[in-house]
Amino acid sequence: MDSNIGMYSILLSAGLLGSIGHCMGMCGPLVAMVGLRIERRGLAKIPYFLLYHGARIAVYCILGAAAGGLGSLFGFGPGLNRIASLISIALGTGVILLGMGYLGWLPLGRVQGGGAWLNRAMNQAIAYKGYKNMVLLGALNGLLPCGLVYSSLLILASSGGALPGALGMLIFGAGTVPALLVIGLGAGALSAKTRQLLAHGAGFLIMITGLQLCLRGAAALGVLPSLKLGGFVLW
Amino acid sequence: MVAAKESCALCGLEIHGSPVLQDFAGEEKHFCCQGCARIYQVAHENNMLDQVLTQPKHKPLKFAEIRFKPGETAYFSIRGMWCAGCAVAAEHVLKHQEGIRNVDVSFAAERGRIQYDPAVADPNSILRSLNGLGYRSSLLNDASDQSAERGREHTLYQLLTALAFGMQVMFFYLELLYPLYAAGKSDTPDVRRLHFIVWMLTTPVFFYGGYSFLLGAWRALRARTATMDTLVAMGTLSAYSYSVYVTLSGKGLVYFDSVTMITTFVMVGRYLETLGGDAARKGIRKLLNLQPSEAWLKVTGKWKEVPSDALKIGDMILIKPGQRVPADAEIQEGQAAIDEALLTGESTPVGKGPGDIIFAGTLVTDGALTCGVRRLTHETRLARITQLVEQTLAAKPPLQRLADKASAYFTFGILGISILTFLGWWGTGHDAARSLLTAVAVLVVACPCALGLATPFALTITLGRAAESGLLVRNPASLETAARINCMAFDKTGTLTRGAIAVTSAEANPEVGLESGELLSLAASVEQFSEHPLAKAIVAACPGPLAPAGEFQSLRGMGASARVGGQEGRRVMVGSLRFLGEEGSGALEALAQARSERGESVIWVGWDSVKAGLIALRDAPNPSAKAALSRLRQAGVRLVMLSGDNPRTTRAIAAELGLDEFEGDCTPADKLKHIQAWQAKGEKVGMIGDGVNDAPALAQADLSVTIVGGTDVAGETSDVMLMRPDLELIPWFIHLCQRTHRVILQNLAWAFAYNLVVIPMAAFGVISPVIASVTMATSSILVVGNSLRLRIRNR
Repeated sequence: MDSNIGMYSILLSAGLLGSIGHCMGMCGPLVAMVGLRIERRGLAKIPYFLLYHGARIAVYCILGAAAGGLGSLFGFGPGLNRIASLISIALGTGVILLGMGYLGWLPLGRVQGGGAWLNRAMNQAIAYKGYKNMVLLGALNGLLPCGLVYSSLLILASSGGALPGALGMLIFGAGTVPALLVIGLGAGALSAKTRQLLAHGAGFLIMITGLQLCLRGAAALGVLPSLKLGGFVLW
Repeated sequence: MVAAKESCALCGLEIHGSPVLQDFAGEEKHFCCQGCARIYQVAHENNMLDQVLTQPKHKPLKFAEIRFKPGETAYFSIRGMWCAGCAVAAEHVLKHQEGIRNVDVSFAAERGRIQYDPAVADPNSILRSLNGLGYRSSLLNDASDQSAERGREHTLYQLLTALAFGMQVMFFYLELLYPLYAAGKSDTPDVRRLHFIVWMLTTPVFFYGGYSFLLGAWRALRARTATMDTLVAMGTLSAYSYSVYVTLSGKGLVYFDSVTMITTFVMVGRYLETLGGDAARKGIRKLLNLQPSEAWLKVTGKWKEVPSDALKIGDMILIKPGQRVPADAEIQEGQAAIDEALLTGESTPVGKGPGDIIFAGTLVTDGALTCGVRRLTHETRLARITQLVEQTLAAKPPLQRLADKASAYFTFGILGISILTFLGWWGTGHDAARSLLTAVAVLVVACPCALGLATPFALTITLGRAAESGLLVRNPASLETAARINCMAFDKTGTLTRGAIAVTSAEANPEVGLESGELLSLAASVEQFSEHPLAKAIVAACPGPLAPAGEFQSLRGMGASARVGGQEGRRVMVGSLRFLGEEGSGALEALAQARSERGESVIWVGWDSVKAGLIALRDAPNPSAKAALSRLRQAGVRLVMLSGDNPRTTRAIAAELGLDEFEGDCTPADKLKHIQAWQAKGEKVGMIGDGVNDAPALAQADLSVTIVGGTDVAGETSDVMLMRPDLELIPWFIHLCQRTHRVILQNLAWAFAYNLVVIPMAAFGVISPVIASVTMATSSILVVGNSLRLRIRNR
């Protein structure tokens, strides 16, 4: 738990910043569409939105648990063995690359994917109204391809277990809720310039964590000295 | 490959690498990723694109010349204020400049007004001095809402920084420092290293996250006053400095947790206040955003989209169904139902056709219209109304000024109490750290902002709601007076009545045998040549086409006649009984008498010595009058009608509307005397009437109301103006003002009670600085939230 605190707090920050920067622009319109379908006015829409986001975060948690669980099979957790160290370096590098693509430093396109079935499913789900619709749309939103989510999952693969993995995604998801609630309630969005900046901020945070993963692996292999601070492991 | 900085059509962010291309209704759109493309597609297929895109579409318009008395009063918008204290500080700065007579700055409305001597002071340099302190002010000529966006974002950045780094700090504290401190291990090298780390993490929170109150405290200092920012800044500064000292000297505990928590909670409070301010200004903003920024102009035979500001008088413009009118214009071709709701509050659309004027900001619902521009965008009715609203927003009512003064004294008091607290604790043997923390708690828990926030939001919301409903308030002090009105005087013609004579009935002489419709047609055929209001009313009431008539003659005060039906037709006479040549008695005469008693005008129709029948006309009452009067009566307001018309008609209308008190034959001086007499008896008197004829009485009344309807609002000087002749707006408005008054009193009561309870608690160490910041933020949110209740339905 100790060694994951830094990770969790970064994920929360990434969720907050990233949601305002990136999610507001992309998932924002989706959430706004959902919001328009809700047959209540103003603040009474919030319970519906909470269901929506709950379903979305639930999907994230499942993915996070899978990532963490998978990672633990390779021996992640306090004290890394050989394989885990190497994988940590690989993961870290991957996250750094993803982050750089996010920031536009590398000409990697954004994360693509998601088949046409997603469109069809969304169209159908938007047609209904009511609670069931919220849960369905939320889950679909959770499955939408998203660079932030994938980076977070990669990071959580090193968290040492299914539970920390799920917890990490829960924290990340919670960070994304405020911004999307604001958009969903139609309370306006920030200018593209601001969002760009905040998205960059989230990208940086992710990259730093990627760096930490690499350093962790290197330290476990004995290549670098490990750095601890009174029980808190930096790497 | 595309150019470097292309942005995604959905999310607006930069596209890295090659864009995703997709075709929509013939247009190719670029996206940054498949996800964005898909969502755009779903929105497009469900016709929700317009509503969900996050890019703002209309750029706000600029207003040109503000028409006020030149050189004496200037209105400006001012942003970058985080609480009412900042507004007070701004006022202080302005007041001490040369040549300034009077200053008002409204925090909630983000507007200000200075009255100055033009020989000595120049508004532009005055505002520059404000901007030097970090405000963003500009004369209302250049007002644009972009600045508000930036201000909101700025606060959001600060909040996010405070949150992001603050969370890191708290994790450190919760997991490491608190357990270590509790175990008594505060002096180990590990702990000292942790102190450094926490210091590094706290610094951005303190300097950037807390930038707004640090700057606010500086402004207050420069203005030689103290505001809430002063208190918070001193609190966090003390805690921060002390903790830095501990970190560097290596002995003791650090309190960076207090610094970050205080900063975070205060910023959360501030941000929510900003949102509250937006909600408060929503009603006003609706008005401002009505005028579309583009219009379809006919250029060399083709329709081209141009900025509305570029339109000139006489330009031909096209307005498609579903669009808003860009400038006051006269319809040349086409017919449509126009929704004028946001201008007059009238909910049913009005049908208009060629020759009619349509106003900027109204909505064309069906049918396309080709129109000629009659007024430039900054001179339209909407622009004038907006100007008026802006000016009202900038003025500060007396109650608010009092609250601001009290707030300043209060703040100084708190500083004193805080110092006393520190000395008290330290003097009684407690260590410096504990004493300091308690003093900080006192600084942070006090909420003078509740005083400063008590009125501004409530007033802004009320002004906005009134404007939305078709009621313009020129004098913000009238919001307070209206709540206390106990007597209302009404003018008759044009206020309680429609102000237009109309035919009520046409009675034919059974001996002559005409139908009443024929009677009317005959009379109308004669009266078609006359300009007299009675004549016009008869023509308007004519059921069929007018018969041709000639040889028109008229005798002032008596009647008119004409030969109807060609050369062989008879000479029909329309006028008084004397005009027709015979007095007499009989059924018809008795009827005429009865109608006269009821205040109606009677016109006879006849030829030679035959009395064919009579037509009765009168000025019908305003349809909203009866309901309005009964509501006012229920609210306990005494109702009186003062009319310049003859007593008989006055009595008739009074009887019809159920008024007990009325006076006919009133000259403007008479009306004035009546109002003075009532006021002498201690009553608060409101008067609604005609701006021109009743001017002295209106000026004397505590609350003056005029109906402006189709005329220009610029010349009116009454406190309140009704945009449409709906008298029910008056009881509605009075009720709204009473609610506002109650909310303001509630806010003030809360402000006092809250501070009275928590400050002693903090001074005695019951409340820690962190809890103090939470309670203080909650208190100011409560006040704002209470004011926002005024946006709920008013009945």
